[in-house]
Amino acid sequence: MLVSLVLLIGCGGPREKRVVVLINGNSPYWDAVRAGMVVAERDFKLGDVGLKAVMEMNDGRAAGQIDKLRQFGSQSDIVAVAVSPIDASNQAVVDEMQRLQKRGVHVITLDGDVDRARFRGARRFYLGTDNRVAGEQAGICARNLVPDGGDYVDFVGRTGAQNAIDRMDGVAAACGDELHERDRMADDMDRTKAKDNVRNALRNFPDLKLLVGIWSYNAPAIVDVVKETGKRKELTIVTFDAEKLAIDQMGDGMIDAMVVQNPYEIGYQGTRLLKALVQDDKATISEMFPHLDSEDGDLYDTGLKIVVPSADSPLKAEMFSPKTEFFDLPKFREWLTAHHLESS
Amino acid sequence: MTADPLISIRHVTKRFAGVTALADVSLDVQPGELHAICGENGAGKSTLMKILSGVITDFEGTYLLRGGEVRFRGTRDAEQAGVSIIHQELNLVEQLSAAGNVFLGREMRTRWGLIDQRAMDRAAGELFDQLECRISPRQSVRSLRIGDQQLIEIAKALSLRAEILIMDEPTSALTQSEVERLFRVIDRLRGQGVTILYISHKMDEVFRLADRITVLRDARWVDTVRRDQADPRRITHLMVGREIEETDLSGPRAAGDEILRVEHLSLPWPGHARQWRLQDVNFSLHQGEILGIAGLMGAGRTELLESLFGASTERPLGKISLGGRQVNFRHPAEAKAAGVGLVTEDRKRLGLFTHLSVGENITLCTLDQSCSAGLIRRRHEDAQAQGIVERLNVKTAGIEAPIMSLSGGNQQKVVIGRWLLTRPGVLLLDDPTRGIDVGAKAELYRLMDRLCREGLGIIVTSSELPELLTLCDRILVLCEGRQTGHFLRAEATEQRIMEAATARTVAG
Amino acid sequence: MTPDAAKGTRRPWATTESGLALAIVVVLVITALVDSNHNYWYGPKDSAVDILRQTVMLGIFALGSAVVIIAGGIDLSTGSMIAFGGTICATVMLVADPEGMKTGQVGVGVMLLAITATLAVGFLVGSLHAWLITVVGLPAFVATLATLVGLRSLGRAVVENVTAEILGGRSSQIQIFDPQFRYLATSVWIPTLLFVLLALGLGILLKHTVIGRHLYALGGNEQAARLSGIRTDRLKWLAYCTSAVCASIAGILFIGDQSVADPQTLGRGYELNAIAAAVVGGCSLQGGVGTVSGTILGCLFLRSVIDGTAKVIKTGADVTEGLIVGIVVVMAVAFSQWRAGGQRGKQFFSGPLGSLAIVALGLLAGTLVTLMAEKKAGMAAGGAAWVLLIGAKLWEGRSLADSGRTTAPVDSNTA
Repeated sequence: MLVSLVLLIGCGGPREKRVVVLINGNSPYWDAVRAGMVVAERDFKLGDVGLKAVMEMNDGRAAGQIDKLRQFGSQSDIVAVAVSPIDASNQAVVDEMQRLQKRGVHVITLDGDVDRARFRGARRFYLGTDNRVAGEQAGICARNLVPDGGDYVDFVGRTGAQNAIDRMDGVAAACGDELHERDRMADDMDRTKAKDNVRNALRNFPDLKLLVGIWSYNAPAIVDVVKETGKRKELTIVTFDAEKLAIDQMGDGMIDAMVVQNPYEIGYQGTRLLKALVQDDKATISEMFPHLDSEDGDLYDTGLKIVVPSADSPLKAEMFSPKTEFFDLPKFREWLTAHHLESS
Repeated sequence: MTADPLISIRHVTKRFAGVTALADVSLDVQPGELHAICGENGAGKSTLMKILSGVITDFEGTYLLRGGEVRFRGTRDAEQAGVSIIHQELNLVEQLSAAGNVFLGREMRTRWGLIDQRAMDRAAGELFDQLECRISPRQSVRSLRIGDQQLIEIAKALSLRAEILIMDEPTSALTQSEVERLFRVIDRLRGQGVTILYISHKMDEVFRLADRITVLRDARWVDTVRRDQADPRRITHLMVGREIEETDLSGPRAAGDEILRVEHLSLPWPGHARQWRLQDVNFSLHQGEILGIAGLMGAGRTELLESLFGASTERPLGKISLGGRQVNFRHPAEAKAAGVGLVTEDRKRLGLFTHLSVGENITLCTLDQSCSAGLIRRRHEDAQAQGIVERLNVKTAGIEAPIMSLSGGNQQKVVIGRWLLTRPGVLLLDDPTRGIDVGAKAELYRLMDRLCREGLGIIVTSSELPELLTLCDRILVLCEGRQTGHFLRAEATEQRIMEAATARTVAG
Repeated sequence: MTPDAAKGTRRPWATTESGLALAIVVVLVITALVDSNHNYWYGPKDSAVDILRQTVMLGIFALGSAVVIIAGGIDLSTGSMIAFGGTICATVMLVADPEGMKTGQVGVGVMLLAITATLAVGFLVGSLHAWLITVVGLPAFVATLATLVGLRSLGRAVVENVTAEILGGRSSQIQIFDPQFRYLATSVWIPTLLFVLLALGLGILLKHTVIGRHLYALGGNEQAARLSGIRTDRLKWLAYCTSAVCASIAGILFIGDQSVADPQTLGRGYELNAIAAAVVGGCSLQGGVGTVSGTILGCLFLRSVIDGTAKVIKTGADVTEGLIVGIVVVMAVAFSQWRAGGQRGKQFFSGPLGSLAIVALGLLAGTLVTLMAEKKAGMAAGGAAWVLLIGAKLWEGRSLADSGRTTAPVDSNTA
């Protein structure tokens, strides 16, 4: 009787396979990715073909990511993995990705990519924005908002994370010679320390004109401290990503520009792509990647937005790359509501 | 006429942070003699022996061995020079075998550099035979009696070819037969020409063994006399600096009402071959009475007291009645509330709070008496502590002094004082005079006598039979958990008590 | 071991507290001088408020840790309890008033309910610790290590499930927008007031009540305390609950400060800050020693050092901050032990171990200066350190030989 019970459980229909999205940490950004993933699972009927979309998280460090990828390799029900590599040139991570591919697991990258010059073969496709380009857009904002130049400081969770490095380098490249980067301050995801960093920056650099928040929670941290010290008039604030709190703060006039990715779209299209790979759905793939044979044809740009508080902002759409969408806050809020989102 | 001294020390002084342990001590030891060192606790005996044996290496003064000055850098140097010490607290490694301990640090090696266990076992076995020690060299020392452990230390010293052996209070934890054995061993060693320095405050031993006796008092040398020119009274006089009268307890005490009755008390011992720590113990205690509990180590004396106090690890079976009502203590707090106090053995480990002051140690059990509105009134507390200091004549720099600055005897008084403040009806004392010098002991005896006359009932355990005979109205004897004897003072003798304590067959 | 603050010799300038106060002044003066912006000079009020805010936040849960340490235990789960406490607070608010949480207008009653629930949870966790330690018999290290790991996981699970149900989408954190609630933390005076009340309450408890005295006794010698009729199990219960409740209070304040309850990252590593503050402030990890005032000074000292580091090493301060804090803590504790008098005449650099220590310390000094300044200065500093330390070693050896004593090897100076 026990044997038959076991057999019954084991043979409960074709075993569900999993497609996994591996993310690096906690934040509304990733929650938006998850929201996109869940909706895509429904829209593209993954369940009907025996697939289930799940999100897994590592601890934000290379070792943790390598561990997770290894674990996936040993689980036979995982058929596709989307990963945001913590570091573009980490050989060990690339090795694990290649090992997964050898076992027949489909691998794509999203949100951040591997070093395309060396490791392109480790994944089939990349979805997301180019963090370097995002940084440059932020640099353009900075250049135009602070035409007389001055000092600025970047605030980020980890100065060693690839997306952080790309963004900060992009900002530095595009903000011109008048603006000088004085420091990159890390808080290791401790939001209290994030605020302390802002306070210290204000004290250490009397000629500070611009504060740049690189990760999504750095925005509210910067705003809190600026409000506290009453120095809003002397400072320009440019941030990345749009946490709900940050959106409200921009509405209060506390943020001058936001560079916003589209994490929802990353999750949505990413899940769609994973299903297409598992099913070998050539139609969908060619629809998503029309220029497969050309260089960088394996990249899917989910788009960048620049959001400003109102039409009175000195920033204008023409200043940015044509692929970047330009919104003022009310329009952005409409866009969010239309997509049933609270943050991006 | 006397040969050149083997050991000679001149003007040796040793200071520790603010305390002078030895002050300008000079002393000679003749080769081949048994030289006894006597003194109260804190007189400097241990410090002196540690200097001689290389445990303490920086001191002021000169140390001459066989006529030449020596500067030991550690015990290894001293051992190589032929000086070995047998500490009061034995220094064995429990996990090793007997032979392993004998050759610790000097293991015999085979031709290829590995440890030669067989050679060590054989050598150790020969030494044990010489010492009448019946243990196997391979046996682990953890389970051995203290008497045997001590012989292992002596064997170690012999294997080092010690010419000078220092023994620090060697008989404090031995049974009578083991003491006799030790004396035979000492005689044999002396026959081999070993010089022995013997620290003790037991006059009977000193006068049985010693050739000469040196007395230290308050870190200074007082006198060195030949045994045939001295008597115990004179030595204790020198040690204490005043006449010690025979502890004269003014007349017999009259026992009052029964305050404690113990019926069929048994304490289980799960997991042990014997299964019972205590089996069927019956007795009663009256007001104004001192009841003594005698027995060897492991007989269950401490466990008996713990059972009466609610501090035993297992729950005791049987019936305990206090003042006529049955009680069932599950925690010392309950016993304390009912008027029972326990002064534990090993006061440093179980009785004192080393970080607290003298006053705080005294008042710890009765702080709620000094409280008003939930806060401790310092003045009341200090007054209580001061009262005890005066009543018990505790020698201290003040109630603010750290407790560890007091001598052993005074520390013991502090612990007793702590319990006296709780106004107990029954006071339990577990080996209260261990490690306490003669003068302080006499004070404690008088104190206990006084307390009894004031109406307290006291139960006291001790390994020193003369002490029990002096103090107690009745003596109960335990052997391996069973009650093997019950004597009134008039009919008790050391002989009878010893027999009961070692009885193999249960008497009734 | 010589008791600290030997009461028999009442010398007010010799206590740990006074030494620590002196050290704090030294740190502040050095920072004021070396800081090229002279922040302390030009903006003393702002700097003072900064340091006060940080000290108070640390102090609230460090006091709880100190109580446990004085009672002879240890609580490794403080950081996780802060995270879990904050999580519970946010969760209750979300469940009771989802609309309010969304719009940032949570009802006052709901906030009070959430705060009460958080304190209750703190009490429960503390009781769990006490049960594991006194009844089940686990060592304190193990019991609180388990909660260190487990509470964060539990918090995450709670948050993900609750947000999935109530917000419609799983989220790993709960955002808090209500400005009234946030005011609890962002206004400096409320946390300071809480801290002062807590410090007063615990200080009076430890110094002037029977329970306090019994806690010291328990920490100093648990067996003797029990044999003196003290209910040691109940005292441990009190100590661990105090620690957990203090941590949950801190958790409520932190989520207000950060405007989000994130069980993964909140309070990571904070338990070590608390223990460091307590130890620097005079608590002994053996138990039975320590004071509230000492712990407060310990918190102030730590925060002064961290603030000083940030102001002196303006750029890239976080890189060397950990290193400097580690060194300073070691020096502070070693210094206070030395002043307690146990080490007079002790040789620090004799023998091969001493020589190796000299090599390591010299390299450390050189590396540190190189990181902060530049290579030449670093080499100079390292060389200078070596010269000093070798000189110390020779001086130790010579002074002993002079007075006619032997040189003492490392292990034979038993008193």
